Amino acid sequence: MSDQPGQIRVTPRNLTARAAYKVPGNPGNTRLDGSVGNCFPGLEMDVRNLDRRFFPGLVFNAVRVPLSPVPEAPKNAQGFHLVFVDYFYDPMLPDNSPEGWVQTLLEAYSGDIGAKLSQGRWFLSWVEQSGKRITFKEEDGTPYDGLMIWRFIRSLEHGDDKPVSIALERRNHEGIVDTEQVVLHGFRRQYRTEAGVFSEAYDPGELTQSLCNPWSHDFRDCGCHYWPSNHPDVVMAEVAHDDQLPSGQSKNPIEAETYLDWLRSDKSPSGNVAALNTVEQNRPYQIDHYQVNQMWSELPIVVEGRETGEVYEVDPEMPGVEPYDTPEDMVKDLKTRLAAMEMTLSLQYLYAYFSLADPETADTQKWPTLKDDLIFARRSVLEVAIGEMTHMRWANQLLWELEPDDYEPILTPSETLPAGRCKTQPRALRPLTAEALADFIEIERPGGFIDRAYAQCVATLEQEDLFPERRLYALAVRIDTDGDEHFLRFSQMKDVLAKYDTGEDTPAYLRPIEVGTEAQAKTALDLYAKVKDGLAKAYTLEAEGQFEESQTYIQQVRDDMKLFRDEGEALAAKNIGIPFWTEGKA
Amino acid sequence: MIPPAAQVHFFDSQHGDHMLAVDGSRVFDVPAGTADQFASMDQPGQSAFLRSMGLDGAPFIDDTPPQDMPVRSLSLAVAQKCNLACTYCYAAGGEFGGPARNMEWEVAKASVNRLVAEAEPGVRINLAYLGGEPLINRDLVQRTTDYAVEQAQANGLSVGFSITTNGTLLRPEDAAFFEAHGFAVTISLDGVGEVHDKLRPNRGGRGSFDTILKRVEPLLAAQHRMQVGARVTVTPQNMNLPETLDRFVGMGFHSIGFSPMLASPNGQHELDRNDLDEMLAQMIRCGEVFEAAVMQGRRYPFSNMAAAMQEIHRGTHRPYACGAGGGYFGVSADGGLFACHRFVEDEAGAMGDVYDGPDLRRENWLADRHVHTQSPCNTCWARYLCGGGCHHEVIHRGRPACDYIRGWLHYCLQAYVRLSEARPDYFGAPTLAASA
Ligand code: SF4
Ligand code: SF4
Repeated sequence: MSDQPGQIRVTPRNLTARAAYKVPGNPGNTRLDGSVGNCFPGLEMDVRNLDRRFFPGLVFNAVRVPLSPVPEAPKNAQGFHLVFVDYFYDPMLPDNSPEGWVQTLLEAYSGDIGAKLSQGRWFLSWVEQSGKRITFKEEDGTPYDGLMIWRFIRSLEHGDDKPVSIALERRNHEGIVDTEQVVLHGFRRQYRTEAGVFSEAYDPGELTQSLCNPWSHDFRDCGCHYWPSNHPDVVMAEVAHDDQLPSGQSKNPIEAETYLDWLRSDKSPSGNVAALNTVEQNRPYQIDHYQVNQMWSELPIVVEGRETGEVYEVDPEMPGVEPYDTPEDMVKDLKTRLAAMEMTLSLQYLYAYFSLADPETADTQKWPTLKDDLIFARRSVLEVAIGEMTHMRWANQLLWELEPDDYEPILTPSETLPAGRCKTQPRALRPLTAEALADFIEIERPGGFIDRAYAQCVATLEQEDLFPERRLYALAVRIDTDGDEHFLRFSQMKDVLAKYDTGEDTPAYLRPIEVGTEAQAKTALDLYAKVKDGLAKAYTLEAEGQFEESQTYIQQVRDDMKLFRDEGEALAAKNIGIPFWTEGKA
Repeated sequence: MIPPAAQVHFFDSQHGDHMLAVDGSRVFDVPAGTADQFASMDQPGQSAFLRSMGLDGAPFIDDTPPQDMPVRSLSLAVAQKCNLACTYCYAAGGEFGGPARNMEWEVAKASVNRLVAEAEPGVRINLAYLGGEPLINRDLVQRTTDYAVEQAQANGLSVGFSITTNGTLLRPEDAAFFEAHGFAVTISLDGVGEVHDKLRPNRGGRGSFDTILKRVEPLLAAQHRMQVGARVTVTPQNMNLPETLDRFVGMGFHSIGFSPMLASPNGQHELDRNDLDEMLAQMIRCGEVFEAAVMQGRRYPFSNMAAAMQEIHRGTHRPYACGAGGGYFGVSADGGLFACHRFVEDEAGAMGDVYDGPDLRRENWLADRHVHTQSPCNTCWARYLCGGGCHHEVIHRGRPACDYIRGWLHYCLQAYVRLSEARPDYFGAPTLAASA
């Protein structure tokens, strides 16, 4: 930059000059309240980066326990690791400070202590404030994980009357402390000024380190669950609205309902093949590191689980949902149909869950992937079953909020389930055969019956003149929109399990269970009765506003559910299914 | 590559040294001596200097001409004939070199339809009536106006009207009509009394000034929604601008503007270099009167100056001098589309007709006329404020007035600094960033 003349000071005068003028200094979003973080807390910085400079003059990183360290890696590498000493421009440590502690620290950092700290790997050993000392080690001497220490550091207070002492220890390659500790005294940094601006101790860009911006390599591999909206794993393809049949099903259901890898590099229609089950399997077909910098902006926006084009359009054909004629009608429907239906569904799914073989006894000789697939399928069915139980609770909550005085818990399963428009089918206890799975998918299909079952409640509660209280509306929306996940789970299961269905015998993933007798399943049925009873009591108490009392029952229900699961497994091992009801054996 | 020296223009005022960054028409205050320092640098040094001030970003204006611009404004040559015989008339006696004739209703109607067809709801379309002398065809003006109002209402558009007249045929009832539709009325005047008459004899050779005055007065009195302005074409014969300006201001015109006579069909009364120097001096005197008035918080309707102040304040930067051939076209009596009113019946500016809209010649025009393609404009510091000069004059006479244009803009930049210091409220701001 030798030809660069000294910077001169110019003042913009007219509007274009003022608009285009780059003001020296920090940009407007230096303030938290002026940044995107105002709307999406956490999106603009990693708060851990504040605490890495909690002690003046030192910079730490929170290091986690490595997942699978190579044998030659140094031991005990986790903890609050001192990255470097950085006292030169630390605003807490001005050269000319009259404070004794500042001068002591400066002397230490610029002298022997500084030299010592630059040799070997140093970690935070303990901190002390207000007479309390926390040592970052298990009883057996294993250092804490860095993130755990970070939580303790977060609890330190700043202020002139809150001195902090810290000790640093050096660990050698074997993870053994090999020299004397260094103890330092100071204060915790105040991360923001009174005006809300971050301390000047932080370098530009320091606070955003570790975030995966879409245009950075990290984004491709980002697996954090914090930003599912920015980084969905699987999505459905965009379909034209007029590609729907009058039944609400797509003309080409395979195309419309196949889950695709959002990061797939082939965005042409031929690239729209179903995503595989694990990240590793999908990896080769995804946008690569070198591509993501260029292609991130081509990643489509996803609305309602579906990729959208340039403009998101609401389906103009979507049949409008009319509210119930009266709130009483809605209550009646909730009581007689919706809540009871959720109960039936969760029991059917539980039954199907127990029909899945034990992954530990899977024949991995013949079916190398069976164990993994079983683990996946079992977890998925259970999640959906629990989801339906949650729905049942929400439906009950709607009832008690709407009619607090007349509330009675609804925990009796309905005898029928919807099947297509205005039709019903009998409830049925079935193992998770291909046919049963196909039926489950049908029931949970987005835009299908379940998906829209609550739409009428939403439309009713949306009427502000009748229901000024927005909480109920929000609750109904939550139930209404929660079903897509179930559909996704079952669809994935179908893909995963199909290969075991050879057409002969029971597929390898199933146990040949049959609905047992009440005598055979007495223990399980008693537990089931206890669970229902406990829930009824808990809901009633909650309806009366007695939350703490209700919690006691909820806890008991949880414990019983655990026992119930064990019992269900034991019965299933003997090929006995639990007879939640007696009719409709399939 | 445009040399760095053509990227900036330095000027001073009593408030210090200033710099116009040509790109984006940005005005900065700079430390004293910056201009000399800049002049003494070699090219790489100058480039580095501009970089250090952040003036090396993506340019505000690139080489790409605008695409698919909708037609927003049309001027209708409702009467290609004139009752006067101005010695320098661009329309050569109102006939544009073609036969004298009136515009037919069908053509006027098609013009309105064209504007409506290209406008989305909420947009403002503009109709200008010109001639010749448009009031020769008053019936058509009225009928077209009514039709345009009706069409605009039916399509959710707003519509603005303007008319440029020599004033001799104005009738009292015109005032009511123009007022009702909020017309911008421009009266072409060439000075006061005799001076005017010499330049604007009627066809019988008698002067027209007094007749005009009598006829304009009712309009001036009725101004409310309507705005009545005077446009003075400056020739060597009417070079007493401050007096003319003052007189017209006193008469109650809403705005008064001067334009130099640079290209007339017969070469008569064109200004030469000395005349232009003289005109510049007189314009600056008018500008000083304007400045004094604004300092006192008075409105002074000198339109050249008022427009320049607003444009400099906003940093207006344009790749063309005007909208001719972009969003604006002139319509000839028989429905031909031309780059502007001055190009009517001129092959150089022909671009289709109102029925089918502008044709391909318009893209070529916009590509050809872009100020970046014009020499010497592409290295002139005034290029984005001037836009390269009136196409009509440039094509027919070249650029004889560049020193005048730059001289005027240089003065306007200085005046802008003075006024923005003294009266930030004039620019709509309570206070302005303190100067260096
Ligand atoms: S016409 Fe003259 S003053 Fe205008 S930009 Fe071109 S060279 Fe500059
Ligand atoms: S070309 Fe000249 S006369 Fe035509 S609109 Fe542009 S500046 Fe005016």
